[in-house]
Parts: sequence; structure tokens; C-alpha cells
Amino acid sequence: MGIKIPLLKAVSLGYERDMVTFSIKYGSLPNFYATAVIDTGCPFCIISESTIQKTRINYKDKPVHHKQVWLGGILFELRCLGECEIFFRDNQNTPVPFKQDIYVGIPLSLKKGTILSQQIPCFVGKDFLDKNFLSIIRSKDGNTYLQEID
Amino acid sequence: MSNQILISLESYEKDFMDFQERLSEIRKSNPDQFIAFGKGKILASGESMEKIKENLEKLRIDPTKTVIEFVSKNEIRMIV
Repeated sequence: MGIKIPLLKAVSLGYERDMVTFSIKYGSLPNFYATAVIDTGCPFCIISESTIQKTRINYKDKPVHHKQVWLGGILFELRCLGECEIFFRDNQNTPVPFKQDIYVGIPLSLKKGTILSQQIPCFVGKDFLDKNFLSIIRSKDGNTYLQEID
Repeated sequence: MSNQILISLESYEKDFMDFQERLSEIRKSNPDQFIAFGKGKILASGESMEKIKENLEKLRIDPTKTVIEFVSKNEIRMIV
């Protein structure tokens, strides 16, 4: 049986979206936790600046991966944290680990501290879904999963 | 190690969904603030992430395992 990760129906930026809770292990620091929008239109896995600010990670020293990335009308700079270990909870209630390149999205077109810049969510992007053969599957029972497809 | 991650994932997810349920109410009571939410209640609130982290540390709560969201007075809608 392949990987099957239950998704949450939750509101982010004003609309209900497919979201997931996950844990990120960066270097020797303890895991930190976040909720992300599953977005097949987003090429990368992005941690929001407000989420990374919960940790002691000095993300501003990390190399810039893309200098100008537009997302929903907001200009971002993506800084690369490198490969991290991320964990999801599957439908058997077991933590499932993955290795994944993670980027931090820093809004550039918004004044720091503005209301919108503080509400940008994290994204689990297409790179992760493609690499692990995962698709969003809507079950007839009303639940939604990230599921491994043969 | 993996059991600890599972417990924290479950706890974080529950806190996040509880926060979602109470969002309209929090929007009225604590507009334009960062909210740290856990165990069904607001643990700390403040105008900056630094302030929230300070408050949580005083309460001996780990911010990296806590749901912290900025709640604007008016709901922002965005298509991404």
C-alpha cells in the first residue's frame, strides 16, 4: 500500500484550501511545525517568513535561489535552506519522512510588517509532489488525501 | 524520536483546526495581532513575532511547536 496522507480543509488567505500539517528538521536544530497549502501551481516548497521567524534559523544568510518570484501579485525573494527532512502523518497515524529542498519566501513588494506580508502561508509545491509521485485524491467519503500513485 | 514527532504533529494539527474554528471570534477580540494558539485558547498575543516569542518563552512554551498566526481585522482574500 502506497503513501496516503490525510489533508485538512482549512481557510488560508480567505478561501478554503487543501492544507497539511508537517514537521521540518533543519540541520541539528529541533523540528519545527507548520501548516502549508498544497499548491500544484507552486513550483517549490516554501516556508513563509513568519513561520521561519518562530525558529532560530538565520535564514537571511542563506543563498538567494530566485531574486524575483511573483506569487499572487506579491514579489518574493526565495532563499534556499537546502535539503531538509520533512515529516507528515499518514492515514495509519505513522510519521512519514521525506528529503526535500526547502525555500524561505521573503516578500519584497510589500513593506515589512504589513498585514498581507504577515499572512502569506507556507506552500507544499509541485517539486515535492512530482518527486514522490503524490497526487491530491478526493475520496467519496468527503476526505482528501495526498496519495502515492503507481 | 518518531513517536515524539507524531505526538507533536497531532497536537499542532488539532490546535490549528481549533484556531480555524475560533478565527471569526479572535478577529473581533484581537484584530491585527499575532496570536499564539494552543489547547483551545489564546496563549499569547502581540503586534510582532518577537513579542509573541518573548511571551511564550516566559510561559515556557516552545514557539516552534505552537500555532502562531497573524489575524487581520478584515479578512484578506487572495487567489494564488
